[in-house]
Amino acid sequence: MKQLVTFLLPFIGILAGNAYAANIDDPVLERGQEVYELTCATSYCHGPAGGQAGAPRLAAREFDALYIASVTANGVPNTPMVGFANALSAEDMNAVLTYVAFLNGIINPQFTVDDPLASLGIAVANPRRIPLAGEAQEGRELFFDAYDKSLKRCSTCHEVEGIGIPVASPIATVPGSVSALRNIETPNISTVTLSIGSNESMPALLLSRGIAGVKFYDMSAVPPVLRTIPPESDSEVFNIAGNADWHHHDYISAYTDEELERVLTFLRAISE
Amino acid sequence: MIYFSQNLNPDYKDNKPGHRMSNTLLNFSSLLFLFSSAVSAASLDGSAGANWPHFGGSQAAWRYSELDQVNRDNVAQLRPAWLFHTDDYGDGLTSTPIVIDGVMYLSTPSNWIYALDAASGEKLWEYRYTPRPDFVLPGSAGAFIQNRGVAVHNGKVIMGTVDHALVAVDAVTGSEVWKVYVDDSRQCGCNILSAPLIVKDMVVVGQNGGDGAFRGYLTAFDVDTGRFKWRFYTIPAPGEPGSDSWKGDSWKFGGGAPWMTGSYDAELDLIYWGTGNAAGDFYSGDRTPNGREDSEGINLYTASVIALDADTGELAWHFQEVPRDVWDFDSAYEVVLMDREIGGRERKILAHMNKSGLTFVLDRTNGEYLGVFSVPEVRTWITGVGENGELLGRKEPVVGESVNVCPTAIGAKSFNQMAYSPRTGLLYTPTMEFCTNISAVDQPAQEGIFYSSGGFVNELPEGRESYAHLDAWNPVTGERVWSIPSQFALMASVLTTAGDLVFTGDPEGWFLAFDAENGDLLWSFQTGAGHRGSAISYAIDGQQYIATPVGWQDSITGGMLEALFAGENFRKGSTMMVFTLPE
Repeated sequence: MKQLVTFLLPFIGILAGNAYAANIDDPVLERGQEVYELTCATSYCHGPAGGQAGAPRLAAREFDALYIASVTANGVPNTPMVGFANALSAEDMNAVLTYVAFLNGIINPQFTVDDPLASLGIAVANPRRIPLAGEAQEGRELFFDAYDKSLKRCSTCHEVEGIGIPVASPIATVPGSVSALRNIETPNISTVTLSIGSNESMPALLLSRGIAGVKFYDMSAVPPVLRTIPPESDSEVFNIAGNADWHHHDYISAYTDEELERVLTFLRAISE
Repeated sequence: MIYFSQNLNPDYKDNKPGHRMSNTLLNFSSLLFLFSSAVSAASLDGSAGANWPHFGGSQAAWRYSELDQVNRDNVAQLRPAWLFHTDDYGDGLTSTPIVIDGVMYLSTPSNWIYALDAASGEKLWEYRYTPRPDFVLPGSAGAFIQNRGVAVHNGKVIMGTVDHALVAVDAVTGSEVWKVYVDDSRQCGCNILSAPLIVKDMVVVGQNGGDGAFRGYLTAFDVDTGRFKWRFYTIPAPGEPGSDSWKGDSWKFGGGAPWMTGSYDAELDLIYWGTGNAAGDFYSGDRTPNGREDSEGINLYTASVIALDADTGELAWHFQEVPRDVWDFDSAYEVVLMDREIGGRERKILAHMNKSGLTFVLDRTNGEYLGVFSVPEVRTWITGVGENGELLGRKEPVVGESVNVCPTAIGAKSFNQMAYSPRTGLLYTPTMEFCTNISAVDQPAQEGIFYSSGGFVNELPEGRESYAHLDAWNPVTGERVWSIPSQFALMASVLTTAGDLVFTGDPEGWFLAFDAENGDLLWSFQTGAGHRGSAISYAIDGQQYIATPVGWQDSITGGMLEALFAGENFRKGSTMMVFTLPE
């Protein structure tokens, strides 16, 4: 390995301009190079073999292992370099860190394979998604389905596993049946009337009312629209009254009962 | 700036007669070629006047101001009127400001909006959008931090955000009025960098992220309420017309993001938009149906111009420029609408360039192909174009090999915009001359994640001393009328005016004015940082102003250029700089 590094480093710039750096026979490095090429070296960001492309060069920068791991995990604030801590498995994280370390002449970076970030004292939140299978996984795909359901998917209003728009409060209780899910009661939704131009009434989910003005979701539309009324206009244009004629089943009408069964299975699986 | 000189021969020296014809004048129908003519009088008017109300100056995307106080005779007297530092150094200043009734609305990379007194530069208000924490999907285009402009209508300033929302701000107070999430950037890996387009009382917006695994779309919202009006997916779902141009489930992840700003013809009530390339970028094997021919259209409606009914968002017609794209040649750029007399009658046409530099001229009532020209001087990705606009002699990437093609995925032109003058009848466009080595990979799609299916390494073509040129093209004849070389790259938009001037900026910080008729350099000013945004013109109380954003974008394409010109210092910055004539 040492011989290989000695050979490669002076030619990194040349390699970056031609084929990818090859001749890596260490399986961890080999996997690291694969992960790097598919994840980091899209050329819109970094270039092959650590070369500069849309983002800075990574090879021969005299980075140390801790810096490489912390930037890879948590990103660089206010730049397109985002953290990959939750995007890569521990194995792939270890491999790509090893590869970038290799590009900087570090032959034996001593990342811990099963948890490379923790071994350097880098704290990372838990991965968002636990592995699921069968109907629970099908339910997960239906919950976030951008293709068949489009905007009428659950995640248009619910944030689960770190994905989705949190219009609604976090799901505290999973409904016991599809019927209960369809007919879930929504006492927080009121009728708002705005006396701007023509009087306009709409079902609304009130978020706040006070010094920052009135904030509410206009629930007549999919996706819901977050409206803000400035505090000085509050009493003049904003009126709120009673329960609205709004029903959860209208919003989730794109789903069949069988599909909603799977969605419930998914929600139960992640709440256990 | 040494390569800009009014003494240079307009024709680039390597561009020998005959060579240019074979390389650039690819295919123009006899109809167009034989009957070039002047611009007729009662045509669609895409001019901007005292205001600069839309991203492209007008909804026809001319980037043309009818103001002529500043003209060829006095442009050399232009002086700075004011400048404004935005304090946002996220990634250059790539936007087009909007000016309405003396107020300039300027967006910055991190989704800040400034309202400025356009005569003095005094700040009237500022709005700083706060995205949700952790809004970025790692490995996605959603990480790009840029903003290319706002739309203004009915007293609201509307902007797309880095976390894929659309937000409307009160044009007088700067306070937020409504906000709607168009998608979750943490799922699609996409977000909104482009300026929305106003169409009647709607705002229409696309998204970037087409190099990731997702399905592009345009969405229309009500300007006053933010309520959803319609959505058009640039990729049809199973059962819809065109879905048979996709293999298996590849339609779900096929890209086609309409990531720049379209145009609108009020008389025809049609919206025109260019769409991004198909994903994965460099490998088509997993998205090409068995036995389907390119001539039938593959991966519809990616790399196309689409025309949509304004009220419903339904497809009126489409023209696919790059079927089964494998070069990342997005066709998402501006659609320039114009009426021109051809063969003795006025025709409603559009001109549309994609990343390859192929510029298609179509009848915009029905999408009929009329002609095409190619702007880069170095071109190897195809050998030519057939009589119906089809690509001939495609040189495609190969899995496991490095294949060299010109131009590169940076583009013969990037997202900076061309301009059109009805006085000269010419399109003014910045062109770049780069090549690339593409290595294709059969990559599995993963929702929202970069889906480039390979990598590319750019290089400079051999035997040249300059790698960009500002060109004037006649869209009716397909002829290049003049061309002025620039050393490194041209990544800023072009502005043209009734003063018969053409303005643009370069990476070294020069802001330049040329004679629209012959390309003579008439004025230059060193602004201190590279140019990546779009200059505009406007007037207040009879005084004409020329305004340009200053500040190099050094990520993505800008970073790729820096890799090509190691040691050059294309300076970042984030300043609005405004010029006018002395009192």
